[in-house]
Amino acid sequence: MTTRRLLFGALILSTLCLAVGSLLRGFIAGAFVALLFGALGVVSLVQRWRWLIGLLFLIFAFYSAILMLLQVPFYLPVLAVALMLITWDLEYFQERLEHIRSPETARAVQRYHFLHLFPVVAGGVLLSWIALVVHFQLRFAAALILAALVIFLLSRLVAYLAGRSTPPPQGTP
Amino acid sequence: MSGRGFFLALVIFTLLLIGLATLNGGVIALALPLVLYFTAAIYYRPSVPRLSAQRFLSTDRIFPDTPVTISLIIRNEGPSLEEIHIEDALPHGLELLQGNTELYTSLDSGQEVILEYTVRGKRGDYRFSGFRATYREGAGLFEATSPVQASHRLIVRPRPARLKPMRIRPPQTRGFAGPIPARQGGAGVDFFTVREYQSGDQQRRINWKVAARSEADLYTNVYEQERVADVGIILDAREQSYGDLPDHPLFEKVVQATASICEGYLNDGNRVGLLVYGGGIESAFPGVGKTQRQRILQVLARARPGRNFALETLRYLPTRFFPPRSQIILVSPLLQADVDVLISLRALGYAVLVISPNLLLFDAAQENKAPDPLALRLALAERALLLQKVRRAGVQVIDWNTEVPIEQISRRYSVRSLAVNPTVEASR
Repeated sequence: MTTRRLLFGALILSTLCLAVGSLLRGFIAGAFVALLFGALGVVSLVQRWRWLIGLLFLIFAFYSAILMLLQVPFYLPVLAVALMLITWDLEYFQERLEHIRSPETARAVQRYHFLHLFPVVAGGVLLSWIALVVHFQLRFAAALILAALVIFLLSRLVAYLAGRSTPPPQGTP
Repeated sequence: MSGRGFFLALVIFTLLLIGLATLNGGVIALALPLVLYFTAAIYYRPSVPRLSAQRFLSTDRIFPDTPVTISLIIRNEGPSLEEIHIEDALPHGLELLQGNTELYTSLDSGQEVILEYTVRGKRGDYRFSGFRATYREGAGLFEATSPVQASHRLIVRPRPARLKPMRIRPPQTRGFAGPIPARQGGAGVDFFTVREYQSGDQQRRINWKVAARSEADLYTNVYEQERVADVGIILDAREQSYGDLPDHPLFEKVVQATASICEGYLNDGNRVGLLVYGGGIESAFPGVGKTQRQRILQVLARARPGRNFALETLRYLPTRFFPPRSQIILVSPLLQADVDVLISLRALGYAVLVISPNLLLFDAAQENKAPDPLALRLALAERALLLQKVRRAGVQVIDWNTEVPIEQISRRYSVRSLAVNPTVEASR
């Protein structure tokens, strides 16, 4: 039930972010279109049209990019994308959750999922905020060192992931 | 990576491309929550789950449409799994009655979970091989699938009807007492011959009428011994015998009838063997008793009409499968080319009984297959001619209109007097 409420809440809030962003720039038709897509999203959640939720995610991301180009306050498109990401994730999660027969297991899986999802999305929003608010000048040498550091860290990450890559499937465990 | 992973990558690249094309850092910053989400999914990328499983069936030999409960006990032999999708493969032909063949759950290390469901099915030999376990990280962007073995077999056997076996007279019988006339004098019920009185003969067996005609000698009635015999049953499973249809509904009736016939002869103590001749040759070697019944029903459970160019005619029938001078019962709609083979079987010394389900009448009775009356008449005349040819070779033939149950046919042909010359009666 919590998942369902969060799912609808995230979609409605995401739609509102886009509509308010459009209204702030006087783009009334845009706000209307955003609300229309939001309503379509609600219908698709009720009707379980999973493919449409995916399509709306893409449309919302694209529309957020347009709002960003229109110089709308940055937190609105960022929040719209983050909330739509939550909608897209929870819609898929809810379907799997319905197949779990034991209520205790369902609650445990739900808690575990939320503990992973929300910090990651919050972290993403924070990163975007830092990227858009904090401005600093870098010298070329500093940028070069930073780039080298990033490449090194990335290669370490790849090596780490390769180390825990999946072994070949066994026929009989 | 799953389809969702590719989709998310598409959204991220769309935002990055728009940002680069418009030289707008804000748009690129929009992609950051998605990038972090994707990175977290990579971090929690699953490894192949290590599971062991055992499958239990409430019973593994059933009759059609009997419900069977299948329990699958799955144990996690590896690290804890947050969310696992178990999908059991139901063999084609089984119908799910209760429960679910899929299960989403979380499994701690060493924990067990039970997947239970009820199925039923038509006649067949169903093999459960294993199931598929898919482990996904929370976002569902990456998944690892592993097949897990949990084999079992469910045999849905045809349900034999209780019937009185048709009277047969094989040239040779076995040593034990039974219901089949042995063509030898001795203790029995049917009159066999008269011989001169020998000391020790029972007085009530003296044939006084014959003795009255003789001046000095007495004569004794001799009765025909009744023994058990070897009965070889051949089920024709050639696709062309059933109008070239691999799933002709008549075949089910024929299998059912064959099961009933086998059961009837086995219950009388005969040694019964079965040969299914069609896409291949499947057999149950001649035997007696309940074990043999199980073997025969198991072979019949697997029987399917099939096409094999090497076995298009009965010419390659493995006659050595049947003991010499035994009784052969062929259950077949019969094809023109089969006549010669039946004649040669008679020449080899076998007694042959053909139970021929009438495919023409069966098809004509189907609602959507009503043929032209004249065409049906001609086809029936052709069939009658074919059966006449077989009868002339000394083969007993029962032309079975499948609208009449096999029990009724069997009752009609189990009458003792027909055993003298069943060919005449069958041809009426």
